[in-house]
Amino acid sequence: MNYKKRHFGSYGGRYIPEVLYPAFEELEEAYFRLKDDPDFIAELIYLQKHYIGRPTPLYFAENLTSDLGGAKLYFKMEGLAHTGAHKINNAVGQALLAKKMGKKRLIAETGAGQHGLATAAAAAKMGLECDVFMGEVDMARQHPNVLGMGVFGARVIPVTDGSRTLTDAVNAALKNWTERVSDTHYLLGSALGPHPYPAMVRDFQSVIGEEVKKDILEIEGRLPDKLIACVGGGSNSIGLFNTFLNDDVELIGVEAGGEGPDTQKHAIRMSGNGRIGIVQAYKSYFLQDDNGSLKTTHSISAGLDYAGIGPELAHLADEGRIKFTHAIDSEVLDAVKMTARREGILPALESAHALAEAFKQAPKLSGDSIIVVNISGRGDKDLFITGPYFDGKNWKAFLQNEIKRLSGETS
Amino acid sequence: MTGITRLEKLFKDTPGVKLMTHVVGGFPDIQTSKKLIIEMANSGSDIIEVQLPFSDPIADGPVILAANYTALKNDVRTSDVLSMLEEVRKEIETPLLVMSYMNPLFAYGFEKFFDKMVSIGLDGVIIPDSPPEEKDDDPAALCDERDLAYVPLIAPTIGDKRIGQVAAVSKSPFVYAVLRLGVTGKATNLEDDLLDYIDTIRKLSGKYVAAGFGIKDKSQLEKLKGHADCGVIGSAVIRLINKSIEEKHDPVKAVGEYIRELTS
Repeated sequence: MNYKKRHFGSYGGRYIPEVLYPAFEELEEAYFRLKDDPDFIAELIYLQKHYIGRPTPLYFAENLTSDLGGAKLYFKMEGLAHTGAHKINNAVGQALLAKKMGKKRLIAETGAGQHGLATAAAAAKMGLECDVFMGEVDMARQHPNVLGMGVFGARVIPVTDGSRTLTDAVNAALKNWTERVSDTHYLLGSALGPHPYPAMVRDFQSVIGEEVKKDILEIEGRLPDKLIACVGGGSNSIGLFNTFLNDDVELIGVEAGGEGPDTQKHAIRMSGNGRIGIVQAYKSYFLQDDNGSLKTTHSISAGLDYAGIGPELAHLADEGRIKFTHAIDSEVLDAVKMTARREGILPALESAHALAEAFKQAPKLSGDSIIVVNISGRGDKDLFITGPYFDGKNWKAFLQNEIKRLSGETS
Repeated sequence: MTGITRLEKLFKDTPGVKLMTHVVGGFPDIQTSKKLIIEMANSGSDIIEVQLPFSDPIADGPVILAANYTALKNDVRTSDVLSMLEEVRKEIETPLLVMSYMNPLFAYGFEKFFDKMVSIGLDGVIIPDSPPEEKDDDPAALCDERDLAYVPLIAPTIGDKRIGQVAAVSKSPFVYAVLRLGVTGKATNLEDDLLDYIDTIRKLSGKYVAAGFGIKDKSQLEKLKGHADCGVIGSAVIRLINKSIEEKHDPVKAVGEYIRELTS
């Protein structure tokens, strides 16, 4: 086993400050030893089944398929996983690994708060201490998740540096790890960062694609024509795609188009102007300025609002194996509405990017073709963003009444 | 005389613990950073490292990070810092190092950047996120070819075997020893084990040792005597600049006084 392989083509690598060298050596050694250990695998499978709620269904979206009049649409329902998104697959995997390594404490970065929430839950389950680093700006706009993490017993540590968002939270978590490597595991949330994270997170998320493959063969007797997933850092997409890399299946990643590719407010790296760089200790495509500093990104979905992308996805894009496209905020909101209205499923805004692309493609395909869309998370968490869009007047009145009610109680 | 040759001569010919000070290019603004460098040189700094402002300085603490952010908000570009250094070089002979993370150099082009450094008369680089394993963009080799000092960073967490490996990555006459875990800017007690650690690095690397991260006063510098060849002061200077600006004093004058005090 060549676990020293730390690159995907020329991407990836491990561009870490020297202080972190022993921590990464220890993590790399432990992960590649335990990932094939029968006891570790058995424990992970137990947790996947009884704690996460796996396997998640592969659902035939009959109404939308008939509305769109083309390809058959299947949804992989990752939103039904515990804590509401695929993030828990990786959090539980790494938390178990940390426990086996004898670590007492987990730290994590979070943007929207979904990864933080999953990590906090996994820490509670495993009896580990948990500190989550979160940009002050993100904390202000994602308060329900801040609250949730606290309920799970995690400390949410506000990051006040730089732009005070996800990228700064990553930096803060890395720095905190340099100060406390002996008892702490850094539970990175996406398939990016320095080696071995991209490989490790991919492996923990690959259960998504493995289940899809098994189910679609059972239901349809053949592989799908296209797989579509949204891409922020890339953990749900690589988790879906990994098992299909050598199959004759088209793989499509959908990035956050934000307010549009011609504005400065988006997170389009692969299907836009991203350039190769070395940032946050890995080499990949980044949205950056001429001087190599990251640009601020925008998306209606906080989970896709990030300037970098996993190095394996960058490599697979260069090879032509994955095609990238994007969906803009308004298309995404329409996709949420359509899916909720016609299938009774409320997808996360992130996942709705993939749905928006599927809705564009399905009508162009014949009725015997198959598209699988990863609904990586459910949309309950987005109510504070989607509420004003779906029912602005009543939502505002509700919030105002809540404030009145709470003031009445506390005054 | 520039680069490795100039630095070698500095370490060989100057007795005692030398002083390296740090500036973020473009902080608090490009003109003041120019004046700061010249004032540092005139007040007794033996080496000055000038950091290229960057959005994601993963090895820096909050004080230097905030200085980076200020420079970026002022729209300071890599080319602005290079032009400023070109002017500085006409006025002082002090060895000048560029401290940068990989990406600003990658974006500029490593070879183009190092050629520019040579043409300006700059002496070396410190790159905190460039471990010896990553050979794709091998800045150490590119610097060696140009007689620029690629100064390796050595941390207390790494074993003896690695100290030798990291130190041997380039022809730089000195290495930079990180004195404490974590990031720049928190207080360091120069306990005996840290001094032992510096001695170990010196022995295993066979090079001069600059010791940094967290040093701020003269007593700390004095303790380095007989162990390190150079003390590095980073965050303390930026804190002083911030304080001077807050109190409406001239930061250049304050920094000059501070360095004269350290080197007296």
